[in-house]
This record gives sequence, C-alpha cells and structure tokens, in this order.
Amino acid sequence: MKSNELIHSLTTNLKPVKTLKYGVKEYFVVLLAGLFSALTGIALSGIRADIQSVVLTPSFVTQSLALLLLAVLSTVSAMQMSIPSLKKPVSQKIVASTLLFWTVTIIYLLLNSNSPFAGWGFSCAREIALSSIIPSIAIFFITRKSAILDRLSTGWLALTAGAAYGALATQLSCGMSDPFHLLIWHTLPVFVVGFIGIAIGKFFIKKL
Amino acid sequence: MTKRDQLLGELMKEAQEGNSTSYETLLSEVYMFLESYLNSKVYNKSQIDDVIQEIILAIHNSRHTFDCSKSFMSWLLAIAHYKVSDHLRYQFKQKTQELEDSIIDANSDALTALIENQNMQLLHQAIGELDQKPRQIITLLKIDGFKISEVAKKLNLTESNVKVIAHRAYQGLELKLRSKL
Repeated sequence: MKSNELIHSLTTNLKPVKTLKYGVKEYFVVLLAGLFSALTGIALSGIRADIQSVVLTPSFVTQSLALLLLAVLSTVSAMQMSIPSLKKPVSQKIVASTLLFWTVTIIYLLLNSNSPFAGWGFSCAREIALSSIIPSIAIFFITRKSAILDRLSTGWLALTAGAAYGALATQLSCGMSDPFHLLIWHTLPVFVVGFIGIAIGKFFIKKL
Repeated sequence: MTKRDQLLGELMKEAQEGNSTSYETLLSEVYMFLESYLNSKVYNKSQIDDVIQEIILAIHNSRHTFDCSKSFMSWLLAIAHYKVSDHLRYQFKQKTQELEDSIIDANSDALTALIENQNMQLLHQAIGELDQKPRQIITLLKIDGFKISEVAKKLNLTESNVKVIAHRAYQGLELKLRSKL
C-alpha cells in the first residue's frame, strides 16, 4: 500500500476521539489505591509497638517523607511518560534522586551505627512486594489507553510507586530500626520490585 | 511554538473532533515533513516509505493522546523518533542474524566438503581391498563410467556375469564401509 492510499483509508469515515488527559481524579485513584494497600499491609502485620517513640525522630520522618515523595512522584512520572513528548518529565529525575537520597540516608545511618545484624526480614520484603501490586495495577489500568513510548521506564516507575507505598507501610509496621535491616529488607526490595517493573514493562506493555 | 506548529496543532484538534478534511491535510503535511526528516535517519532509501507508514499509523492510533495546548511537533517527533529507533534496532538485529547465518553456512559447506572428501577416501580404500575381478568391474563401471556391455566385452564376460559380480561387490563394499564409518 502506498502512503497516500494509507492516508486516504485512515481519513475516510473518521470518528471523533475523546482526548486523554490525566487530571486530579486519576492521581487521586492511585493515591487511594496506594493508601488502601499500605493500610491493608499495616492491618495485617499490626502497627509497630514503639511507634510513639520513633514517629517524631528525624530519621523516621526523613525516610517517611522520602518514601511518600517517591510514591507520588513515581505515579506522576509514570503517567506523564505515557503521553508522547520530546521532553522527558523532570519528575523522572527527581524520582531517581529521591530513591538515591533514601538509600544514602540509610547507608549514612548504617555507617554511624554499630548495631549488630538484627536478623532476617522476609516478612518486610514480602509486605513491600505485596503492597506494591494494587497501586501498580491502578497505574497500568489508568495508562492502558495511552501511547507509551518508553515501556521500560514506565514499568519501573509504576512498580517503584507501588513499592514506595509498601515501604511506607512496612516502616509503620516493622519494629526494627537497625539500618542494616532497613537497607537489606526495606530498600533492596524497592529496587528489586522496580527491576521487576522493567521486565513487566518490556514484556507486557503494548508496543505503539 | 512556531506558526506551523500551531497550525498543525489546530488541524489535529479538528481531526480529534472528527473532521476528516483537516486530518487528511494534517497527514499530508506530516508525510512531507517525515520524508525530509527520515532522509538523514534511514540510510536504506527504499525503506523510508515503510517507516513513514508505520509512523502515520502510530499517529493515528495515538491521536487521542495529543494535548492541543502543547506543541504538536514535540508530540510528532517523539513518536517518529521512537519508530525510527525501533526500525533501526530491527534492521540491526536482521543484519546480525544474516551475518551469523552466513558464517554458519560457510562453516557447514566446509564441513560437508570435508566429510565428502573423507568418504571418497574411504570408498577408494574399500574398492582397493576387493578381489581383482570385482575391483576391475566396479572401477570400470563407477569410476571410468563404462556401460555393462562394454565392461563385459573388455573382460570377456557375459553381461549377466558382470551384473552378478558387481552386485556382490556392492554388498562387499557396503559391509566394508559400514565397519569403517
């Protein structure tokens, strides 16, 4: 088929289309999904016993804010990336910086502490992974009708957003504040879930 | 945003509302732009039209994602860039595969020649091990290319005698080759 024939066939019987725009409603849906997922995780694991004594410590507040920022920005970035544009969303760089900031904060805590190995934390990793499912599905569902060009980044951002909600919930339910535990069982799972997101993006997001 | 960009954006907005004339004008403009844009990106000129068609189809399928308050060219170039990269990646993969296949074919031809050569040596060796009469008959029939009647005349034998000796020689050769391979 020649190009002019293709253009002719595409323009005949053209129907109006509803333009895709992400508004407050879409972001709110993901936020609700994330909070629901986090609260379910906390309800199932139970809130940590020392919550009153740690909730206002600088370390806890910094980490919680970083995770909340990570969750929100990853969501915004994943949605922005699903609409073609030459300009890469700035939020994507902020997401990477926030993730790095959170990791560096924990490494800093680790270097300044001499607490011993606090044991395994498979339940923390599991909680993060499971909590990431609902918000990630919400993001994929909202962006399903869009035109995703960078499938790997979108997959990474969607699952990182979900994992950030999970890590936030785990922060409220896990009683271990040992930096080594945090690094291995809270931070690492967020990275792993993000990498799984890259694979999901590659194999499951429809090519334009 | 340039005037042209604004105009194309407006045409796309009308196309989103279902105006086919605007859409046809827009796609024709896009076609002309892509033709010059791809000249520097796609080296195989015969494939430019295919890539343009792919981009036009992608534009059609994602036209609902264009926000008319933003630059049309930025939206178009993002799609075009993605499709060109995809095309170049596919071309690279295909070329690599072709190269690998040609290397495999070359190796395979060499291996076949080697095997044939070895088989011929074994066959000559097996023929050499036959008794004098069968060896003469097989050499005359299969190597020198004589007919059965000519072989019979040369060796003062009847044709049926030549056939019987040749038949037994083939059986003997088969056994010898089986034991050697």
